[in-house]
Amino acid sequence: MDFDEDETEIQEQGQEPEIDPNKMAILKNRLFRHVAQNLDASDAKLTQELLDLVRGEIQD
Amino acid sequence: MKLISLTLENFRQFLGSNQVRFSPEPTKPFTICYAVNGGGKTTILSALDFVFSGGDLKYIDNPGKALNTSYFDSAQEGDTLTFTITLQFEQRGQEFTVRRARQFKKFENEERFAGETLELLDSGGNSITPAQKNLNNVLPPSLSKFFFFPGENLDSFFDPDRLRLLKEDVESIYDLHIYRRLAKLARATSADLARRLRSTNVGEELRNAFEMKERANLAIENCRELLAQVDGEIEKADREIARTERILESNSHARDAVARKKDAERELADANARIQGAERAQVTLRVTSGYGLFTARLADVVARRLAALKEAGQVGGSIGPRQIMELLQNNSTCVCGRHLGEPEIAHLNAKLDSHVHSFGGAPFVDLDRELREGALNVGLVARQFGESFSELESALSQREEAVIAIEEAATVLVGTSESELSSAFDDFVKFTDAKRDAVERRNGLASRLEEAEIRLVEANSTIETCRQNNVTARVPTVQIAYLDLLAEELDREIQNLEKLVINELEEELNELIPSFLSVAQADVRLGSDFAPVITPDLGMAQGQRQATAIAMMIALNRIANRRANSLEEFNLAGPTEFPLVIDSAFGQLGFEYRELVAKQLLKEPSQVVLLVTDSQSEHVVEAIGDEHCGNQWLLQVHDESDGRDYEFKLRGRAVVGKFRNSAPLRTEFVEVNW
Repeated sequence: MDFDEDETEIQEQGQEPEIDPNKMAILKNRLFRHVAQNLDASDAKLTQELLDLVRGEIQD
Repeated sequence: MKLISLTLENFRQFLGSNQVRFSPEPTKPFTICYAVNGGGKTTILSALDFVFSGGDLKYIDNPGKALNTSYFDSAQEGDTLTFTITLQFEQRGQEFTVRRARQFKKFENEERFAGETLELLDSGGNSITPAQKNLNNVLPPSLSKFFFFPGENLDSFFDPDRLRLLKEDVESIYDLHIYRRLAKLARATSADLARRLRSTNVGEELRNAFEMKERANLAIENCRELLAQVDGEIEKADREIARTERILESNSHARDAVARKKDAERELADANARIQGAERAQVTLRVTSGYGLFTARLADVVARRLAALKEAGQVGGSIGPRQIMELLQNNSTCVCGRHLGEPEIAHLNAKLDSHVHSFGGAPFVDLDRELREGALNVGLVARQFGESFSELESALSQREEAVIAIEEAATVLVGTSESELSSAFDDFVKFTDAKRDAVERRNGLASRLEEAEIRLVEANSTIETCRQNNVTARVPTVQIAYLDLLAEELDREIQNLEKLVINELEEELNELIPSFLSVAQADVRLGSDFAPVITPDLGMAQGQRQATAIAMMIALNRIANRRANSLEEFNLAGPTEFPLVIDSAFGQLGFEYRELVAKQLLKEPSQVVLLVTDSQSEHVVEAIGDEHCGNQWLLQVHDESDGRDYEFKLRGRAVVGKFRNSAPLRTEFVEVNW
């Protein structure tokens, strides 16, 4: 059987993804500005918006 | 930024249009506004905040009464009333005008809000839009509270609740509230992504697919093993069939005879069994028919006797064969031999007579039924007799035919190896049957194999899909990693900024406090609650505490100025010093502190507007010096009704005004020149 235990552990254990400092800086700036401009928005709304921004900025 | 002029129209104490001009000269940075209590000092502070930010009127009592009382009283119900605040200011050498007006309807003698307008104009009178956004760039709302200070209640400046709000305000200058919110949201977003990732359950699905694949592989292996066995059986059967066929073919003349003999032998065995069965049936039927005839006869006798009794009017009760047999039980010959002769009938009749007498009823229904059933039984037994004779006859005929067939086959087989042929024939039949059975099993196994192979294909497909999903899942995993790291970074920055806020404020206070409190050196430390602790312990008498509060205002103004000038968004503003407007802060200070604070204010680089009462003016303005005061204004109070004269001394000069403790009041700016 070619069942590989590690194969199912990808999400649970996670691999160590490489963080690009430039991407990180851009992401941080983007999110910070968004939150600063939408301080009155609810946490739920902002979480969804941040999720979209992160997806937009960080692709594998 | 420098304030140039402020015009108040129908706002609070100011009826019609009233303008105060601020000193724009760097060498004369002070503007002093003198007023009695209730004269309009705090109204100026509130107007400055309002013209920039809008919203609620701050600092003043009864903000729901914004319109000038005389103006309001002279209006009719339903009239639209407006107050307007106009501020001219200079920013990087250019003049701007901001005008904010609020409209009301007079309704049931109350102010009902009806709308608000805002204009921001450049020096050429051109409108700059959007006005509020540009104004927020000139003076961010989070900073404005560090330029306009209400000082009427210095004693409560260090109350824990006020300090907590002050700390929040100061931290907001450094955007700490945004950092904290973003850190919290980054964690929530990361958790949200992780939750979504788990909900895809790729790992579980993959594990199931592998288990399915394993089971399918085992089934395939098992089926193939069994198929190999079955194929072996079929092969062996084929070999045996071929062998026996060869033997039978080589004796083809005898082959059919052997087959016929085998068939005849089976027929003979079958016929013998049938004969045996038929004979057993006849023995049983004989007994049964004897009982049936006896029952029928007995019923007939009883019926006749009962009919006779009925005619004689003596019939009653119910009686059946079992009871009749019980009546006859004394006559052993009758019962055992099923014989019903005259003596038995006489005996039965006697018994019936006595039995019927003891009952009283009509037994005819039962007797009729018994009679009919007895007759039916006789008929049935007779039919069965007939059938058994036919069966016996047929079986005997079958036996005879079988015997003949065996004899004929034996005749044909004379001279052949009958035992070999018989064995070959038996093997032929046996292996033909075995092959049929094996082929059936093979077909079943082939179906199972096919199903297992389909499951294997499905499992492999699921595994492939899961692997692809796993690759897709890597993306959120990376996003989660970025968000988690961002939250960690933000936590560190928040900690650093919290320290920075405290450090910067401590630094400013350490510079201001010694001169404010007239000590050679003082070390000021702020607790995490912002409460100042001064070493050496100066006892913090009321005056010292109030002076420290003013020092805090100046420190905050400096920090806010620094922060404002570091913001990128200040396109309209650019590097500048914001003014410091302090309302009524000096009245509560001891004379010695007034002078010390005033001298310190001279060192501040920004434009300073002091709103002071007559009693505060003495030492403060004199400490500053008229030469540093560009503009000085008296807020001249007029009573519109019959208020009494109010005379007070302003810097040694008598000033006469009208004063009354309640509205209507009217104030106008009167420029004074000492």
